[in-house]
Amino acid sequence: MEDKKLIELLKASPQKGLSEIVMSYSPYVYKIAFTKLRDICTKEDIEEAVSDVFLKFYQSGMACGFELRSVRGLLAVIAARHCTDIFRSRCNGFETVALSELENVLAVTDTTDGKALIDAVKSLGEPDSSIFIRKYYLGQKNKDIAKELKMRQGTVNTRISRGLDKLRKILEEDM
Amino acid sequence: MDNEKYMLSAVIDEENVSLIDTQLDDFSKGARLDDKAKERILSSVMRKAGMEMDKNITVKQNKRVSKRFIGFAAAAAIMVTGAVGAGAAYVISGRTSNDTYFGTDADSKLESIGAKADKTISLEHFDLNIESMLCDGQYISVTASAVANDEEGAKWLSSGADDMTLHSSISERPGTANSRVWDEDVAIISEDGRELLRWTYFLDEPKDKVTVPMSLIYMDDINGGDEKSLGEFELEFVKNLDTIKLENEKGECVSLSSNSVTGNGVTIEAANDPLPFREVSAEYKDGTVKKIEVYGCNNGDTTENAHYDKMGITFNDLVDIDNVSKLTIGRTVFELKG
Repeated sequence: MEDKKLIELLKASPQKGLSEIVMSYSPYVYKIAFTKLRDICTKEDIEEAVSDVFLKFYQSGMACGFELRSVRGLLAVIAARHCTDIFRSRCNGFETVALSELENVLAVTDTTDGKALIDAVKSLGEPDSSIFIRKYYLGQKNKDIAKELKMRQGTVNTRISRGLDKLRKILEEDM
Repeated sequence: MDNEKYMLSAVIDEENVSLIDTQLDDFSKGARLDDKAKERILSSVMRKAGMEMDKNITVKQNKRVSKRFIGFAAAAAIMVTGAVGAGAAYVISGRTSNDTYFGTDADSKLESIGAKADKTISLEHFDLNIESMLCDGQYISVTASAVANDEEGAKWLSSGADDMTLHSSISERPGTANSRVWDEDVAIISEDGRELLRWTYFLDEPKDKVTVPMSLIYMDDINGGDEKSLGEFELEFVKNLDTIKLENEKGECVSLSSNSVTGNGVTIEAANDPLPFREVSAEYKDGTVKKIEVYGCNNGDTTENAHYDKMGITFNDLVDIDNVSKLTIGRTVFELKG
């Protein structure tokens, strides 16, 4: 069922809408959670995280009368945040994989520059913008990105390295 | 230094996430999750959201519902509304498959319509007690219970082994998008550890008698989720259910038996539930109206005007069709012809 119909169903019958959304989107949310947490959480913990994501989605939706733009988008945002929180609480720190590579490249001084960063990543074009979203937002490992995008891992590594150079130049020009 | 500012996760929010919609869509395409995990997650979400269901005994729903079934989402919605469904918890008071799937006094009702069976098929590790066989010419159904006949089988049942269900190759459509069509199967563990099984199927063409190759199978989750056979046998279904024809205001007909309703080329409009097949009720000649518990439903292609080239709904009830005057599906009323 497409998002528009799911949102209509949520408004008409929140309980039915929520169950339809869970059954439609649990593979997607599970994939986000698994990608971010598989190194530190059991399968049961990941499922627990997924159910918490849907609960937060439902609560967010109720707060705004289910006036939602996109079910998929909101689920991604909530899932990414929730899993990051779990990661931090278990690891007592930040995800540093991206940091070491992004240092001095993707620095933003405040969140109003967030759109500039997203625009810069998107301006890399495909497949690079997909690689960057998968790696730096969804936390997917290079080898898994390579597998899903049907590339060699070396190619993914090279594209990330070159992409970082391009991003640095784009962001420096914008400043 | 605030490391978080270097992270895309710090800048993507509810307002701007649409900017990466294409990438998220692409990411979602590879997402897979087995049906049992979906059921566990749904159950957990419903519990946390305060949408509690009855929790006396856990029901196992076999994942192999018809692919032309209105979808797992629908199965979950049936679960939420309280009919038999996926992964939820229901009160199981029956000791047999007949009690479980057809309600109280099932045996006597089945006996009165000539559908009660009492046949045991011995397989390796299990005995399959066939409890009922129904056939109205278009729809066939069997209920059975599986009990262990050796130590291996006993170990299997006591370990809470998953996904043992009845299956038939006649529902398979290899090489098509819907690899199984028009069949539904379910398994429930009784309080004493037996597997209570039900399998239903809508025949492609009406037949008064049909021999069906059957098997008892399970999903080998450990080795890639393949189906493995626990034994094979045949069942001969002979028409033993009468049907009555009912017609909507457009003159389109459905055929109602005590356990199912089928139709070809019918318009069925939704009432409260966007999926109309989940809301079925019968009006009787004495004026009483009774809701019919839906077990499952299948439909073929749908046009925009809620017109279905083929549809079939199976019940958890045994309906007294001799006294039915009207049938309502969704908000479409079908009245007894002639």
